[in-house]
Amino acid sequence: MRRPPRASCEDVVRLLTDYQEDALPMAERLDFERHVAVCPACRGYMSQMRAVLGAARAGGGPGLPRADEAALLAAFRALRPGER
Amino acid sequence: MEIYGRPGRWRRTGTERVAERRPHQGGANPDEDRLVDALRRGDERAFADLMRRYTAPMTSVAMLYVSSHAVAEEVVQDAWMSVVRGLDRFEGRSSLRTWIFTILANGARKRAAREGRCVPFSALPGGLEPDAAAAEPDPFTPAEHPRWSRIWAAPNDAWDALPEERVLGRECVDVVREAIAALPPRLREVMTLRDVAGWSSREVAEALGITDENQRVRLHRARARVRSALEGYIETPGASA
Repeated sequence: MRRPPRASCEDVVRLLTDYQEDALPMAERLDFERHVAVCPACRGYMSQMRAVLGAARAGGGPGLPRADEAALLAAFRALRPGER
Repeated sequence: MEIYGRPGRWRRTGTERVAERRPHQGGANPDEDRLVDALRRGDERAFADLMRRYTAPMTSVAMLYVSSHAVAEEVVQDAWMSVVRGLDRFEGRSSLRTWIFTILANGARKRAAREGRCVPFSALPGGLEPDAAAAEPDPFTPAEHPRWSRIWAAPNDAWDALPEERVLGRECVDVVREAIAALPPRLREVMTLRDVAGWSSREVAEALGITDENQRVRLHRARARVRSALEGYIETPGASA
């Protein structure tokens, strides 16, 4: 028989980063996973965090201006003559 | 980006988390070996791809040290030049990415010292700032509830069920970028390195000279604040950004 989860939604929010970082002891990790498996609201929260991380990853500073990129490519060509 | 996988296989899927616990060493990653070979042979397209992949996160990291975007851009360009010149010295003892970011961070640090600015990267005294989230309304049911203690009082919308263009759209990316920029420095540096630049937890803890636990605490607070900012935007579109 499976134990009902003891973790509350508040615990899930509090422990989410530790869970993601694999820093939870086994028992807490299992409680966390058992809770999330049956809790749509916590899955919603986790999906929100996923959106945050996706946006963070997509959103570094803007790239280099075209001209600078071209200058670096030219330097690469000059310093590392090879294919093309 | 898949972080958790699905119920029943949360842990052992090829998630970032699992991957980052074993940062690959040179020789252990055929893709990276091929890339390094291509760069050494002078394959221009490989270099152009590399620049496009890393320039944006490198600019974010440079901004942790220097005062203006223009200076950050110069630092990034200089770093790329050093990468081109130093490719033959790259021994694969760290990953190519780590090596590039180390060059970048060294350059940015020097530049910051010349600017008379040596603040970020955790020279700041004192503890963590008080957690702003503590002041927000409590989203959970009361602890005294006999059966449903401390659960969500209202459901959470699944943002990844919203139309793609909505969540990963330019506006949300901008909201998240601004929210990260507005974090206190000690939180901003951790979230920038981890979530924008993609460093591993160990790399960040080492670079900042903090414990793994402290790294996690800062990351947790930073992410929670940025999530709140994005929530404010998604639930009242047009209010911010």
